[in-house]
Amino acid sequence: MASKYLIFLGCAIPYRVSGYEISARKVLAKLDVELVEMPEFNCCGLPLDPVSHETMLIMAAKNLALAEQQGLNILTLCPGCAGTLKKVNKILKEDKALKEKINSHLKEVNLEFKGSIQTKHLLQLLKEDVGIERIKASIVKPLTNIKVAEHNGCHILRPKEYIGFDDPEDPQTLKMLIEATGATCLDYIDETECCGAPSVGISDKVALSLARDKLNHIKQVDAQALITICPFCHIMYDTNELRIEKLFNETYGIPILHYPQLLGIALGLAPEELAFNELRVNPQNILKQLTQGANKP
Amino acid sequence: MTEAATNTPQKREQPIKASELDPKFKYELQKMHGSEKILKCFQCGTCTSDCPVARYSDSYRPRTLIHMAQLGLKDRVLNSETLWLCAACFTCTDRCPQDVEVAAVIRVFRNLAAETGCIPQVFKDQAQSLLESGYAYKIPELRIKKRESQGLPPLPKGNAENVRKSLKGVKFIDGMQKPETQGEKPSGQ
Repeated sequence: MASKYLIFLGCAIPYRVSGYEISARKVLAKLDVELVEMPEFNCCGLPLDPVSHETMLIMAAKNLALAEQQGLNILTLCPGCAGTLKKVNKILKEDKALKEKINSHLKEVNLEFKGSIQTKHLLQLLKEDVGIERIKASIVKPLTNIKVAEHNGCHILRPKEYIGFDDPEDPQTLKMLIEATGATCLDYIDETECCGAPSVGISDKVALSLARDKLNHIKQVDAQALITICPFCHIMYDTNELRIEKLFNETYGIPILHYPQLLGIALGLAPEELAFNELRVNPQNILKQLTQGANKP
Repeated sequence: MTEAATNTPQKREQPIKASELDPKFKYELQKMHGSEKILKCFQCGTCTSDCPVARYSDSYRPRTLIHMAQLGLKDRVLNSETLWLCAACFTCTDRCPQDVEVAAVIRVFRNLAAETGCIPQVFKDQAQSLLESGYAYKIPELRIKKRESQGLPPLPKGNAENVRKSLKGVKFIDGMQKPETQGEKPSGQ
């Protein structure tokens, strides 16, 4: 059964995390999820929430209204976008006065928020629409010799009242999705801790200290890679790993993979199709193991 | 903003004077979207003890900020440099036994502080980019062109004109477009 979604890219992914988009599109095509491009979109609003809640509400509602015109549910790859669109959808549906106020802004551009569609993040789509069993059945190259750690990040799970997906204190979906590929998903200390990305530019010391903690914890359990599902978490660990190593005198060399890159290999796609070349931390060691047997000696 | 600014401990050496207290502040907060439940906070400290930022910052303490607001220390709360350190991970919100939505209260404080135009540069850059391109980051032309060679569909339009139209009348945005009123948060060296 094929699903059809409007893909909402957000800003961070086209700005600097194209590897996530490339691998996600490849994997979704393989799993018969049809993606329709948004004719236009703008920032989901989240980055401006700290300075102007009203701006965030209008931006999110504007995107939802644009998607409503297409009559399709939204799929996002960014948990920040998913969380914001879900939250605003719920808030405006429940608060008629606020909805009217926001709609008076949207009227300026001939749009109206109705509350007729839903938003899902990639993880939720893989679990609910595709299903773990179908993913398992689609695996052609089980990653049985691979041991990785997962990092959900915050916005895919919190605040739970608005997100309502998985258990923020003990999330299982990403683990199940990793294990569906045949890989082992390792437990480690403080799995649900924040990556620190939102504090970059305010206090890099705080942000990098948080990221360092995570890298230390996954190093302790000998994870061959850290698997992320958020562009910001990915930037925090992949782009900054070298910086953290230098700053704190540590050595990691742990590649940070987007979940669809891991799944893609297990689905039989080649590393070149999954943008492994976009990663900052060299994934050569794990790639060698991931592709074992795929190429003739 | 600099490290020094955000890691300077709050000025606890200054005793509180009765004249600083604004007893109406907490009632104003009760009426604002996100901070409705601020008076339910009984200062258990779950937010601060579970806050990942508080672990590495000498000064950011959500419980303290909420207590200060309850007491009416409006100016101290809104001028607090540490307000901007919250990573919005929502751990405090999810674990608050009184359902205070702590992260939303911090966001209300920030929004109020932003009305004075004093915000960290990063937010100004993002707001500017939003108004100019429709996206929060200035996506380089090269990146947009590269999409084709990467096998990606063209990036949908940001439609900045419609973004600006729809945001007309938003206090913060109107303020943004008058550059002379926009002071930068001092680096506080």
